[in-house]
Amino acid sequence: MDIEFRDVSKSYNGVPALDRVSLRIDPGQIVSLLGPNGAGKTTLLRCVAGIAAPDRGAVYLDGEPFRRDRLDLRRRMHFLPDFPFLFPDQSVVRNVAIVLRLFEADGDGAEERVLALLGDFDMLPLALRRVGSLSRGQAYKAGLIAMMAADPEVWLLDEPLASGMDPHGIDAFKRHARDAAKRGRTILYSTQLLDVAERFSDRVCVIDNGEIRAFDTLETLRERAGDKDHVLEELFRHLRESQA
Amino acid sequence: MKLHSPEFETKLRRGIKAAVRRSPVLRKNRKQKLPRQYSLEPLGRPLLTTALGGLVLNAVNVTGHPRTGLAVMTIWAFAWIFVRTQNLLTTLFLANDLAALTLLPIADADVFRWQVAKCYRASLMSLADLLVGLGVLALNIGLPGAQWLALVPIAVLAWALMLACSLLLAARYPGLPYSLVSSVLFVSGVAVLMLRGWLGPPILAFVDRHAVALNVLLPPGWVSSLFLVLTEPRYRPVIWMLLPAGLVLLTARGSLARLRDGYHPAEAIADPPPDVVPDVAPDEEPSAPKSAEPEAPFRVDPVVIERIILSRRFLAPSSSTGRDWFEERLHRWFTPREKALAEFAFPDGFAIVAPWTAVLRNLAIGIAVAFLLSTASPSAGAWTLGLALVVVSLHALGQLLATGNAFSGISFGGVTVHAYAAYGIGFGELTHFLFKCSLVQVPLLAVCLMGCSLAAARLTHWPAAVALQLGLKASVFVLASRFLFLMINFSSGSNDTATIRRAVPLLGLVLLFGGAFLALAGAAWYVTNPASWLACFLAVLDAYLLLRVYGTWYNRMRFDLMAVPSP
Repeated sequence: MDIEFRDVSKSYNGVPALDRVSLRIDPGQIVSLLGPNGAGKTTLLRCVAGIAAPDRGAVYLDGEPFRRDRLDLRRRMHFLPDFPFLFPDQSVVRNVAIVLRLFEADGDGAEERVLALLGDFDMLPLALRRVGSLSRGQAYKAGLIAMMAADPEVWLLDEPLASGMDPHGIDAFKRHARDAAKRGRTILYSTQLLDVAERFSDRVCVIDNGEIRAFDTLETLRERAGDKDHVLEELFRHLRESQA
Repeated sequence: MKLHSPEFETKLRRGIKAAVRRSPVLRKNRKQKLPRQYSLEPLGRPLLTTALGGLVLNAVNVTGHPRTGLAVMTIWAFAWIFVRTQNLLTTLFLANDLAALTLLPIADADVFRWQVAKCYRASLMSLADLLVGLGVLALNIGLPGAQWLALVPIAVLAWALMLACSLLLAARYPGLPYSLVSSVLFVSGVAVLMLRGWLGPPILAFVDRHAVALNVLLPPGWVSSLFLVLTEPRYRPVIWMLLPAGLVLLTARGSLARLRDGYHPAEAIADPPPDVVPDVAPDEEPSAPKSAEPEAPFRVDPVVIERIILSRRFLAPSSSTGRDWFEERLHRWFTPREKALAEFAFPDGFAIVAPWTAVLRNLAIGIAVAFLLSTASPSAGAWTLGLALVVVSLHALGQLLATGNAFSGISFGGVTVHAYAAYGIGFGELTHFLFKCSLVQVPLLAVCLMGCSLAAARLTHWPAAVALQLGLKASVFVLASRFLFLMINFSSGSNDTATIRRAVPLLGLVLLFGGAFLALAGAAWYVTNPASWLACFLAVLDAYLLLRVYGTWYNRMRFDLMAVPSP
């Protein structure tokens, strides 16, 4: 699914969160959203998910303007907040089942997908545990497993790498995301971890004060920076210096 | 006790100002004008105080007796004792800041003082209530200037007595359902306000007749009755009521000590719950793996879990067995998509028969008790019936308007979003689904409301046929109100009224359609000929149209699906 922002602006209580953002994300990419706190990363994700309504401009999905009644488009994406909504009194597998049915992904083969994911995320022994009794990282894994089992075309993830998951879970997430991107899925995630973003993204989108400062592949960014290591750290340092 | 340091805050403020002066970017940001935020919240409690003033004035004007005005104040203050007790217990044991306070190096006694001080501050509005009530009475009877000074100590003493009563109840009887009592009192107050034309005169007559008894029986009256001493010397014996008041005031110290001694706020750690096994055939019942701990919760072996997943049993809705007739009809009526929504909104299944059985059972008990009582005292019977009808109607309304998890709030990134919005569920499909849930319950609602109206008719001597018709019409209006409540449900998780540009059209829409709905409802209520059913139908249509227009705005993304806090 193509995601395109055309001149999108959004403000909260008069404070701009996105300022005339225009960008296009082709399918099959892992895109990391980087930027200081309050830069507009989560707002950008919310605009794609239809939770936030742009004040100006529009989001286009597969070339069509996005409206909330386009359920056909909405069911092709899944937004996973940093604290996902799960049913605390239901077990992990029941939560997964509910999401699968909402995304009409409970057909043949769903059980094998779920089993494989539970195994990969070390969640099989906890599969019948009530979500309310799990740690934050385990609960996030449950939300992630539900999303991955539903296998939507667009994954929208808010701070998945700061969700309390253990290193094994983060590794499993990266492997599955990479496989999904190869299958044409788009993974759009926000993060503050520059070193991870450098290794785990096809494109990097740097936002600051609601404006896109950079949206390029890492190779291009490196070329521009004169093949320096830690190009993102350099970019952030440059941003801070230009503001000071 | 101060949990903040004014010196540190001043230093911090100065430091921030200096940093802003040094940085051009921060200076620019600071100059950006924020739109002014308005909130009606601070006006809420003073409005209640004003309402009490109005009630007292009305009571004295209608009856001509200051003691009746005092009795109104006494009842008011008595009701607030329960609210204050609930507030005290909630602030002490369930406040949001407790989790943070218990993690800080602060002694439990200091946290206790801090929380109790918050309750004292919150109760100052009750002092304002008493001052306003007494002031209204004094104005009404033309109290001489010098005697006005006596009103302040009377109000302060009555307020202290209210606090002492709250402390006593919280310390000695913390398990009583104060929240329920507060809610019932609030709902009764609203019901009396809405039906004041009908209920007002008999209630006022009752209060007037029993004013003396009310002022003697209810603790706040022990002190506020001192006002009567200022008016006429024959009321001097009222001073003796200071004796029980003093005794209650003396308990405050002990109550505080008792509460403080048992106050050890700590993080609640619940026992780990057992595994939740999806529905299985009896011969496939998984057994728990052997555990070294005898009291360990039930755990299923991973091999068995694997088998359960591969058998797809976890995908079967948890409510697939044990559906009653109504639930089965509703389930069959649902489209596959609505079945998915049903699982999302009601993961434990949407119960219809069991809750309605409880509603109808409570109605039958209420009516039976009311009619039994009416043989001894007609007014007691009428009051019991009225209370039973209010409670049963609210229960029925809650069941009919249930939304399950659909509108549960999720907090992330500093905002709250409704669960349905996070899962990309559409406005139209969710409203259709929830309306179907209501529609299938209409026969049960009609039975309940017709039962209510028949019971009321028995007391008011209306013909049974009229009562049945009114019950049926009420069912139609309650069903129509589902559309209105759905709009409120969606609106409550959005910022559709955050700016004037958004709020004005919405307010216009609500006034236009809401006004038409009320007018049509009124017409259908008072007209008895068949045309009244046309008004009923038009009211349903009106509510539906309002929801549709709101839905169009929703789909056209005229607002966000999140409540954005003010900066």
